[in-house]
Amino acid sequence: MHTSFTTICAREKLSDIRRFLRQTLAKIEVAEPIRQEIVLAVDEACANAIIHGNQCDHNRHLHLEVEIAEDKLLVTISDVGDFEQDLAQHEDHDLHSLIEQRKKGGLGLKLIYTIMDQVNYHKEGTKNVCTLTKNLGTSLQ
Amino acid sequence: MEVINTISDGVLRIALIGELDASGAINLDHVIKKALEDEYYRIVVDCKQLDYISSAGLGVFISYLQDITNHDGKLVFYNMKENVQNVFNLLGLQNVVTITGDLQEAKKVIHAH
Repeated sequence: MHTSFTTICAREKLSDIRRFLRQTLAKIEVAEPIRQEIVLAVDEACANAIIHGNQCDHNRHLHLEVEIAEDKLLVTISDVGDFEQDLAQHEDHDLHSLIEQRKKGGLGLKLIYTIMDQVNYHKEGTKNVCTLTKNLGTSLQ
Repeated sequence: MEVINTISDGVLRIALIGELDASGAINLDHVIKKALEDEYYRIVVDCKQLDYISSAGLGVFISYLQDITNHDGKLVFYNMKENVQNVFNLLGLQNVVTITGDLQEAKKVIHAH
């Protein structure tokens, strides 16, 4: 199964992205908590791309591809943002230091890495491409 | 996303309604910032109608936790749905904030010394 969705880089579009994901994931038989966690991880990656990668520039677009084959889910998020974030180099933020430093950020990447089995990031020309993989083998109902 | 805040007995009660993501977090941030400026450091958060939360919403609470603690205040969540509680658990937040079943329990924690 293959589905795709394109939207503009606006925070307000995150709810549309979640709706697209829920509709797509409704077509596969996976346990509800896993479905909700996948939506959360993709929402976090998209929020990152919209806010940090593209500074909420409504003239830019975010493109999502979802592929489900056998027991693997692959989500590809691409944009043309100028923020080169290597997700593979993320720091594992300590919760207590985030509290002490009064930081609002730092939790999203932790969620992405906790939920997904593989996280990759690369450049394709001017595009930033983030791929998130989830093995559904044990999660399928 | 709606954020409804009421003050009673020196306690700020915030009711979160809908899905709290990076878009709705901005409004929540304004509400909490204003409350702390007005010196309300005892806050209960009603999650009964909160259907979804992402890190942006949680980040708002986390960023004010130190100030709340420094002023002998408390931040207590109650009426949490399973999927929202799961996000707290994924990040270990249940160890740094109090989560109770209902408002009565939340108030007990808030007023305890």
